[in-house]
Amino acid sequence: MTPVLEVHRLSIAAGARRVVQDLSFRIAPGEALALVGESGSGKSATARAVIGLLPPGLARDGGAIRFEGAALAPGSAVLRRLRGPGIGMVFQEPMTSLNPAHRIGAQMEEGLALHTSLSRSGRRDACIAMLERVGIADPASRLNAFPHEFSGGMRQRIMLASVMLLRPRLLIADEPTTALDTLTQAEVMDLISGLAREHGTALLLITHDLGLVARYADQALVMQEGRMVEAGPAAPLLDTPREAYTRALVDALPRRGPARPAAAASAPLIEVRSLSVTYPKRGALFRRAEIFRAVDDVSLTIHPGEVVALVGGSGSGKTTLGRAMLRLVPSSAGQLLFRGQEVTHRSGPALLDFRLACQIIFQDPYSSLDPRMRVRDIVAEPLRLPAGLPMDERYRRAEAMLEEVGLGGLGARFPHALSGGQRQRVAIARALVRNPAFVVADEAVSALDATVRKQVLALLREQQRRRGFACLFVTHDLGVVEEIADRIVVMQHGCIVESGPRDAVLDAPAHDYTRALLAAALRRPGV
Amino acid sequence: MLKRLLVALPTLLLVAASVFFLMRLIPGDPATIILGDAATPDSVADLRLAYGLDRPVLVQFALWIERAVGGDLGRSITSGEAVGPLILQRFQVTAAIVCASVGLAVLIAVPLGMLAAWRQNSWGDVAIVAAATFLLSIPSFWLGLIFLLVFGLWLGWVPVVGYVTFAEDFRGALHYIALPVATLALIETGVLIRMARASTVEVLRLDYIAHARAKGVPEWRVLARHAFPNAFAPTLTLIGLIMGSLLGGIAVIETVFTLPGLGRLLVEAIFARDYPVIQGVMLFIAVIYVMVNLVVDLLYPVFDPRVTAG
Amino acid sequence: MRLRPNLLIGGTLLGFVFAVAATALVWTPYDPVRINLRRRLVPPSADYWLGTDEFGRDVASRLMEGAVTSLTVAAATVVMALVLGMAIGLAGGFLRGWTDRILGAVNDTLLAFPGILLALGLLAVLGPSRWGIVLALGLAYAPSVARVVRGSVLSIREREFVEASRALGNSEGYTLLRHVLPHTAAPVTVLATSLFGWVILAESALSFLGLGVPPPAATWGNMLASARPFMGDAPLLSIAPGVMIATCLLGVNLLGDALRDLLDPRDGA
Repeated sequence: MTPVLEVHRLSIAAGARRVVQDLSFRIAPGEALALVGESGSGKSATARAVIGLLPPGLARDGGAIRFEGAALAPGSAVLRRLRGPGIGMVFQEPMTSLNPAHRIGAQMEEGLALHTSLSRSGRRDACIAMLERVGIADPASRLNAFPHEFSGGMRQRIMLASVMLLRPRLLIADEPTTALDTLTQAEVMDLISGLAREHGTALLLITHDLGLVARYADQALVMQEGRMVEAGPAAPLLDTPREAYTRALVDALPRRGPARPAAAASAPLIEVRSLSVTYPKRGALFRRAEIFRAVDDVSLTIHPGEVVALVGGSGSGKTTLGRAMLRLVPSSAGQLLFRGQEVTHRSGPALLDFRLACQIIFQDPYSSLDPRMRVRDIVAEPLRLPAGLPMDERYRRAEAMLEEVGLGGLGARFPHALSGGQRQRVAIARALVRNPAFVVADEAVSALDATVRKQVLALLREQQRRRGFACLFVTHDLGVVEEIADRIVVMQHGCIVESGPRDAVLDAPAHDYTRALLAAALRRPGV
Repeated sequence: MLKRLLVALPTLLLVAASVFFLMRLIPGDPATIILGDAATPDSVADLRLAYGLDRPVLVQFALWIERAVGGDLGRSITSGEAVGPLILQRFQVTAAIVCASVGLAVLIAVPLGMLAAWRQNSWGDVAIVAAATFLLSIPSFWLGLIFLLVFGLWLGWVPVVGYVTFAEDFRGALHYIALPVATLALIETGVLIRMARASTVEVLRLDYIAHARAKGVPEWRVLARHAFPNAFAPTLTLIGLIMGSLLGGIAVIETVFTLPGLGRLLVEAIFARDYPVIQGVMLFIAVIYVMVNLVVDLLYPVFDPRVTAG
Repeated sequence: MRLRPNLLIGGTLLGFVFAVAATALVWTPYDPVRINLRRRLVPPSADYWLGTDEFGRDVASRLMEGAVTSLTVAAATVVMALVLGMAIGLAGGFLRGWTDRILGAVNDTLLAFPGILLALGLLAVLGPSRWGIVLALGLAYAPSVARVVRGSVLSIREREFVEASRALGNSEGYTLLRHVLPHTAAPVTVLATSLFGWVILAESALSFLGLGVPPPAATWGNMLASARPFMGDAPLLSIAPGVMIATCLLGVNLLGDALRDLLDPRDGA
């Protein structure tokens, strides 16, 4: 049987740099192949090359791509005609995947108008049916809505609907769920997989997430720096990887370590009592504005040396709570206590004491470091306060800290010369250089590749054990939680819905939401 | 939309106040200045009474606003004409030139800019950008002078001075207006091409353009239906700014081509120390500019629905 | 650093104008204001490289003096507009609250006067003079600077490293100076070059109208104005000053483009 897609010794270059080298694979009709790799592996470029939409600067310079036996030369008319009814593609970023200027009905109908001979009402009916299939409520009236009226997850579904309407024989999904939160990820992936099977569409799934590969792919191909590392049926590949790199990827999947003894005996370090954070919603000039409760009457205690994971989907309020606990966001009600003393309204030098002892590590390694400062200046800056430490002593401690996080000798560099993982290490060094008692890690590893994530988490764990600070780890990823948490607190819609020791919550979740999150957290088969 | 108008009101009030108090900064007694040579102690006293100049300043301001809203902007010192109708009459000329030149420029610049962006870094793109940069570096009044020299004096295709309104003689009016409009349009095209190109380049990079291409939408449609509405919105804002800047500096072009427009009225009034006229013109232009920006804000959601008009 | 054509050409053009001005400070072929009625409207020759004007003054010398005038007025105006505008923009953008609202209202009012309208109004009060122009144009352009700076500050303060500075316990003042201000350097520099171009253009336009630097001082604008009656007889009088203005503007624009390209990618990701 002719494979739907056959790629033979494909090469893609960006000027002098090789992006993809000598890549070969094939996909049988109705089969799902996952291209797996970390950033820079060339998997996205491969996907774009198949559909002929390489970004400016990249070009194919070797090999062949065949679709149902016919060769696809770059820029050929054959390729152009195939786009839509032959090959369809869904993209990663839901915020920019739909044209903000057109209603979704018009965007969906456009493909149909171009490739089918359906009448106006026929197209409309097809769109409504497909919207319903992808789970958009009230499809008939929603046809007239604009993309910005939908959430990220819904936009992905609409894009999927728009593409599947044309019944392509091959669907390319380029990291389709990376930008969505855990629960939505599972739903959208189920939808993609389900629709593909219904219509007999072959699937080329581009992803860095091995959990997705386990669940949704028949075949898998691991890429590293443009080359194929290993390929074969998905499940055996993940269970018994042959190559070292594949093994490293598989090992990077979270695994649970032994539980640590509870620290509840000692006096609480940080205590939150009935805390609320509200924002006025944007109302019209004359209507009284409604308020949005980001954090609703939350009470939480953290003990010295404890690692608490604060988990929830987007909009759960976890990020806001984390910031409120550091007084980075003003609270509208309730109290915040540090070592038994109230700090809710402190300012001036008293607030400084609080700040010295409590620090934060941000999510985005690209924007949390001042691009104009050298790394050692960034790590030395916190030592300005409290005043009195001479400059050379500050630098000495900064360099020592950098050594500890594995960046010894890189102090003179600027952030843009470091990788994402290295920048997060700088952020960790900055947070820990004053030996704080409490650290909030706000999605500190979410933006990193799997193998890098593992290393940074290991670093955090090691530092936490050595220095003994309490840590609030805010995350949406339960896999991360497994590796590092002593206690888990689950939030939804601004309230705490479940809380307890790690093993208890993970093995016997009490609340529905927790159960849903666990189900969605795709874990390694067999674990 | 009502909200937008309401929000603009305080600004308009402050603008009116600025104009009013600016004129009061001029040293000397306003009544004496207004009467000029005809000033005698009696006539000055009479005028002060008539204009309410003996009342407190804020009251005078309130009275002035009240009259202005009703359309009464006083009388010109030099000619005695009512300022309001004079401004409106002159504005017709100015408005015709501004609208025609901007319209022409948009029609030429937007397609060229989008084309340049579509074929980014090609020879065509480089040429278009170079031409645009060159054009916008030419001072408008100089270009006007050169055009007058070439097309007016040397070739004799258009008249060098004079003006008729469109109402009087449509074809004749076209002759008079052709050169000033061409001059301005050429330079504005330079400015607009660069903006249209820049925003189109940004838009073409986005996923939804790739998505449209992935659906098999032909290139011309991708540019026209998908790229254009999103790329045009920032250009729209620039158009508003250009119109404003033209309104502010139109005096130069009107001087070069001796057109009876609003800009020249202002400059003549400045030389003649005709304060009611200066006040009236400044207030009028500022108000028109605020309206233009309001219209731009209202039109924006047509091209970018993410922005609400309210 | 690749030598971009923009940078090269723009730099050369602007450099030429500055060189002319610098030369004029120490030497011009003739005294720019000296009248010689016997040599009126002489065409270009070995004696008078660009000919003479209606008062027998050497055009080349007047062009050179015009360069000095235009460049000094532009420089002074840009400095004034930048200082005033940055103060307002930084204060409003960083402090927010009532400070921002009041400053914003003032700024919006001034911005409601488009282009050189405000300058014209101020000149009606001040009367034409060299420093009057600097004041009038400086006040006319400061609001644009303030708006750009405020916008820049607003977006910078949202970036996480600013929040990180606050989280470390640093005072607002330190955060503003150490973290926010340096990042405004790039947009302000680009703005300053554009501003320079606008001011040169505005000053020559005002001088053309007779509201700018008063005669007998030579400025490109008033040279063009006085050349008008003699357009047919001595076209060079109408062409030369404009060429200088255009050269200067083209240089500034190209340089501004090059600066924008250079400064943009380096800041952030």
